[in-house]
Amino acid sequence: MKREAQPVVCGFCARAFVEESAQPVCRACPLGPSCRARRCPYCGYENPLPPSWLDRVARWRKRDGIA
Amino acid sequence: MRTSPTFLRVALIGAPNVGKSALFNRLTGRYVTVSNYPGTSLEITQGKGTIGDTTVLVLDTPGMYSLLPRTHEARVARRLLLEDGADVTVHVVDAKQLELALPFTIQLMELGRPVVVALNMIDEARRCGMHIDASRLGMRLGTPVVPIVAVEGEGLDTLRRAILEAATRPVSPPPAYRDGACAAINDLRTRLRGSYPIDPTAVAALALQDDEETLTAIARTEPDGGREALLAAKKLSTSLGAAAYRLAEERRKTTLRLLLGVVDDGQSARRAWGDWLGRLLASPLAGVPVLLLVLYLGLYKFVGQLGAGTVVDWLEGTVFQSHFNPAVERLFAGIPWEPVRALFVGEYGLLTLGLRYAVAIILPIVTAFFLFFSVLEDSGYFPRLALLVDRLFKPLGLNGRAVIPMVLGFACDTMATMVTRTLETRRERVLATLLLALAIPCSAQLGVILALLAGQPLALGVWGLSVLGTFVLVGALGARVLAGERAAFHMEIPPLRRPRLGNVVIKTLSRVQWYFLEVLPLFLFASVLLWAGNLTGAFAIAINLLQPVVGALDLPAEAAQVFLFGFFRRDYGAAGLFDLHQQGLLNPIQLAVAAVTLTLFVPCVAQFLMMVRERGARTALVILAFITPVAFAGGFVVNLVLRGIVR
Repeated sequence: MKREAQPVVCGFCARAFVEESAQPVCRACPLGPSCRARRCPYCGYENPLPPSWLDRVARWRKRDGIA
Repeated sequence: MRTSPTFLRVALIGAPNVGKSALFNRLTGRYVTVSNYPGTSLEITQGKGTIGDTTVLVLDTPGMYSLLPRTHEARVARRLLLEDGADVTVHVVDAKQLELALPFTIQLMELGRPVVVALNMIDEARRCGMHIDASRLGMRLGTPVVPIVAVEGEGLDTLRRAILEAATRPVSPPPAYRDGACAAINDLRTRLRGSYPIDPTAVAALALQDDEETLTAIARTEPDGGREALLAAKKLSTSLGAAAYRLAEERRKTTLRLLLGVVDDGQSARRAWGDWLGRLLASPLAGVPVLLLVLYLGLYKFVGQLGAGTVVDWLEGTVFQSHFNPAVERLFAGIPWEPVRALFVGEYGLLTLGLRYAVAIILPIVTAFFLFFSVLEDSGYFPRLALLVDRLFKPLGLNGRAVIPMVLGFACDTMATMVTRTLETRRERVLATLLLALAIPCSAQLGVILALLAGQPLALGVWGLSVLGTFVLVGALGARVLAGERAAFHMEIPPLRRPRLGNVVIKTLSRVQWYFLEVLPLFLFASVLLWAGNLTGAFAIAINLLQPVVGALDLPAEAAQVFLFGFFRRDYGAAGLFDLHQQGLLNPIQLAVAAVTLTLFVPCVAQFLMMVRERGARTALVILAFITPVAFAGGFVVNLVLRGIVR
């Protein structure tokens, strides 16, 4: 199942961007779509995307009001 | 069609994810059309609604943070704002992030058109314990500020009234810049004679910030081709120093003044303390000692001693050497063909070398490193570090922006080399690529070296000084040799924050998983290569070629294979060095020499390929040809000096 694009808050400049807007910066990367990082379009910082299992855990914690 | 008493064009402007689309839907209902913005593939959504008897055409624009955009989408939004204009601009702001958004409100007001601030998600701000005195802020700004909850429709009637009133009232001037910045803007403004679609104050401010589109517009619009204004802009910008940074800083200070007594979240004392601490961290006097303390506690004590020392000792010594390796050797003992058996459990076996290096040595070190890294990242320390080193990097031909690849280089130099493309000039990109390849050890290499040198303070000091000295010396020489433009650096600094455990854990696990999944197959592949090289004799030939150099450094013959490992992967070489030390083959001087040489040694294969891709084959080969003798010369000098001291 395709993962839904999420907003990312940059760990360096704290600005939010949507995953798609990071793509042009990464277009030349040999890792291509398998890359698990998104580069901030504002400062160029590389932000890790959580793996899908961690995404599920985070959603589960949020749903159950743990986080 | 432009303004008429019965028709208004309203543009919704704001950062991504602040609720512009929700507000758009509320203002327009279902009368929506989507069209490409002229000359672009970007879709602009527009829809009609009514406010009383007035028909309103609402434009939903892509997210942007300032009038100096970096993304394609933001550039389109800016063009729509500057060239096509709107009768009223609604700046949609996340109420919780008011401090970050207001500098942009000031820029929007400079355009000389009516602005209304929609303070969206005010309910969330209330839930966070924030109370915002919107009317007081509106009076100070000179423009309406309306608290709303777009998804619920709360405050929408007030917003509609504010839009109508703003369209009919005279436009208030924006808060003025102070001192030199104000004088420079006014000076340039008086030299502008042409007719612009926006207020000349905004044209002057953008020109001072070296905005290319504005400079082109001046050249196109001014009667003398913009010669006088452009010359003045250049002079005034130079006299201001880094003008873009200076004006951004002015807007930030104005924002803080505007918000004084407007926002009450019961944490003003804590925020004031955070602001003070943030400024302190970016100042050289306090920032450098704090940086050294952070490096000592985080890298040396936590990553070096705990991660690479205690945890690796246990995993490597107890789990692998005492239990795992003997168990797999027994398991494969029945295989009669020695070459096949050696592939799995020999000196270069997949399980006894490749898996052991990856799991027992590298995994705990990178986990400790990424944990430390994520805490710093989540605290907002990195932008302060960028400001701090901006001054220190200037003699090296770099600026604060280079902190991003340098910091990422401590995680993985290959990825960091790719990030150098975000630096503004070619000169900076080449210098940063060279310094990354030469003197920035990756996380695993750094962790292993810190662990190895932890018990040898002299060797550790020599290693630190040698690597730092090489970084500064080569950077300074490179900056003199390489011609090119110097780029200015400015960034708006986000607030300092307390790291959140959830964020830190998620970021750490994400990075560890990515790193480990990348490292494991490569380590296994390296073991197969070494096994094959051992079998065919090619490995012995390569080792023999390196022997004279290793001998000149007074290192044991076995150190040659560490350098060979290091070229395959930096962390693989570091793990090899760890193995040599465990076998008691290195005395303290040899340890320091090997650590310095391996740190400065040529980039690993992956980093070299990335250098070819990013900087081109010629530049990558020149860097490689420069680094190899520098690394061995560095080790040679350290050996000479240390032996001289000991003797």
